[in-house]
Amino acid sequence: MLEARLEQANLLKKVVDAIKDLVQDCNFDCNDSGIALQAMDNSHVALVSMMLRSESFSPFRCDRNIALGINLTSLTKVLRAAQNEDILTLKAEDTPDVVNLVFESAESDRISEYDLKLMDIDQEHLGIPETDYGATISMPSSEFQRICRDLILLSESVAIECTKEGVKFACQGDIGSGAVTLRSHTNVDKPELNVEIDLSEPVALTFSLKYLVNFCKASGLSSTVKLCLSNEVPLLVEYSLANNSHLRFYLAPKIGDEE
Amino acid sequence: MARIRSKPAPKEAPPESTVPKKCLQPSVSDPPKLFILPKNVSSDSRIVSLQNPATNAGNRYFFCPDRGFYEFTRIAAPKNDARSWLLTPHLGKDLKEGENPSLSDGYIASNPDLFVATPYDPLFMLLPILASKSKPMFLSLDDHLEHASSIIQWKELLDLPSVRGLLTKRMEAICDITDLRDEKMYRFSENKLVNELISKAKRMTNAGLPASMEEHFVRRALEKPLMSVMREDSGASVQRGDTETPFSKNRDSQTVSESTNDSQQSINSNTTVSTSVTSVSSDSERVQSVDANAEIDAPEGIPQLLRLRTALDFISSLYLSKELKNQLASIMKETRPIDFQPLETHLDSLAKIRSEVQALRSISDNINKKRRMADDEVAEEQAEKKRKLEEEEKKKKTESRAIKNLKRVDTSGMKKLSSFFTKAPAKAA
Repeated sequence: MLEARLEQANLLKKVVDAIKDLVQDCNFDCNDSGIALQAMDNSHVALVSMMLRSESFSPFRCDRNIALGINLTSLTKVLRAAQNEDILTLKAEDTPDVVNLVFESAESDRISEYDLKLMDIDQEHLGIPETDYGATISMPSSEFQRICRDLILLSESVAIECTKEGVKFACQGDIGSGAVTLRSHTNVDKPELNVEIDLSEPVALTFSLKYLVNFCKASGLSSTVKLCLSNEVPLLVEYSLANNSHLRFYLAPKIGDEE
Repeated sequence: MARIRSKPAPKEAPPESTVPKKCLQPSVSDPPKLFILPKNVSSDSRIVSLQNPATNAGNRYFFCPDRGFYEFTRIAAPKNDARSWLLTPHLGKDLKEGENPSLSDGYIASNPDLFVATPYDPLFMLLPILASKSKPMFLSLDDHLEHASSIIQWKELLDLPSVRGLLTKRMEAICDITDLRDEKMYRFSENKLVNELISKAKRMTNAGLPASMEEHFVRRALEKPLMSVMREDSGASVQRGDTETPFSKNRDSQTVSESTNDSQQSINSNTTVSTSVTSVSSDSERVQSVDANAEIDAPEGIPQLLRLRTALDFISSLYLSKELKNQLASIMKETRPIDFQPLETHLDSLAKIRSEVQALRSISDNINKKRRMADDEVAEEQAEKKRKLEEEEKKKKTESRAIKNLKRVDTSGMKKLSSFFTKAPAKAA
């Protein structure tokens, strides 16, 4: 029996919005620590990993490990019926055929209830090791989104170069080239605009901008984003959520395709 | 040339133009039949009932004192083909009062049969008389015919001097002759009959067998069974092994096929057929042979031998009594006027191949059946596969645009994440 009550439907709406364009169906693995999700895109070059800790819910009850196989497009349809401020409750039996979603409006006494059919999804789980990254950059998520959106107009891929001077996003396309360089920057008044670069070794990697733009759809979830890079290792784009929860994206670098 | 006698020649003009408003007469129990008779026959010509030498049953023959005997061949439409005769009056010919007005005015005969008189060798008429004797003896013609003249129709015929001449001539062909005191004595000779039959058969084959006979008894009999995978096609050849099918059947089919020609009016009877054997090998028949010109796959001379044998079988089964036929067959075997040996060996080998093919086919049928049993599992698997494919298809349809776009992203140079992260049941992070 699963029962998870979210104070704000907004969170789930945004999470699903952020990943629904990357993966089609995925399992929401529910256990007593929370609700986790791991899925790869069709090309298996990107991976999304979500962890919503039980603390994010009030109350959270999960007696058994349950995998809710959900088509994200369908889930989006149902979540569209919820308003951002609604209280969202997820309910499911121990061996469920459906997941029950209840949206309660705090202002009015409106309760809407939806049952979403579940699917059996065979998904391989990847074990992702804790990695010490050569470079860790945190920046405003809106800044990262802006860089990606600007550069994708020029090229399909971006080279991210991290040196002690700063981090440089450079791209080269048919119409020309462009580069955005960020330096470490601390804004005392608005700490969310800080740019922090934690560098242990210089890193230069190339990534597909289309995927990065896709990741940026999660920008609404968090004001800051953390990019973790190491040579020859997938990029980690992490959006931290409240209560130690997170939404992480991994993207394989382009190797041997230097232009 | 023969001409149509019992009915006026048809013209385009519809009967209504000359005979307006004519009520149809009620159908009669014994309606007139249509005949095509030889022309220029003498006025003494008649239709006689005589014993059929092959069946001993009564049979009608057309007899002309000058030209001899004619037998009738019925040309019939297939039974399920609704056909009738419409006889139209002769255009411009004034109707004479009292002269069979019903037919001249136009007539509808419900029976689609047409009887064609074709020349008939009186030799066959003589056979029952000659061969019935247990021991052939030299006898005069009169003595020979003594028995026959007891039959009233024969008696009448024998009174005609021309008949005697005719019979004598034919008698000479199949009898040993000696002169005894200015009188010729005849003794039936089976060998001579065999030779006569063979010459008839040769004449028949020289002009080429009728198409349907050629197809049925020569081409099919010599057809090699297909040994390859396309076994279904060889079905016809396998079921037809021997050439000894009853000719009565063949005759039926032949009359049928001939009548389907709609040239009933212009069948210029078999005047071109020089033999007295009245096979139905008219020219109209040969027109139907479509693929008759195609090569028969058989050793040199074999088709000709088979044709000859077919013709012989045809003649003897039509015109000879059973006993005589058997008798002649044994004589043929002994004396071998024609050596059918190569043909027989060839047919034997064909039959062998056919039986082999059939055996093979039954084996393969068996195998197929067994395989079908095993196929159930395969079919299940396939169904499963199909279901999965369909699911995939459905999935693709429900795919969002963004996901479709993402598929188009150039991922060259990008390794799969599984090459970075180990596959493990451990949860991410």
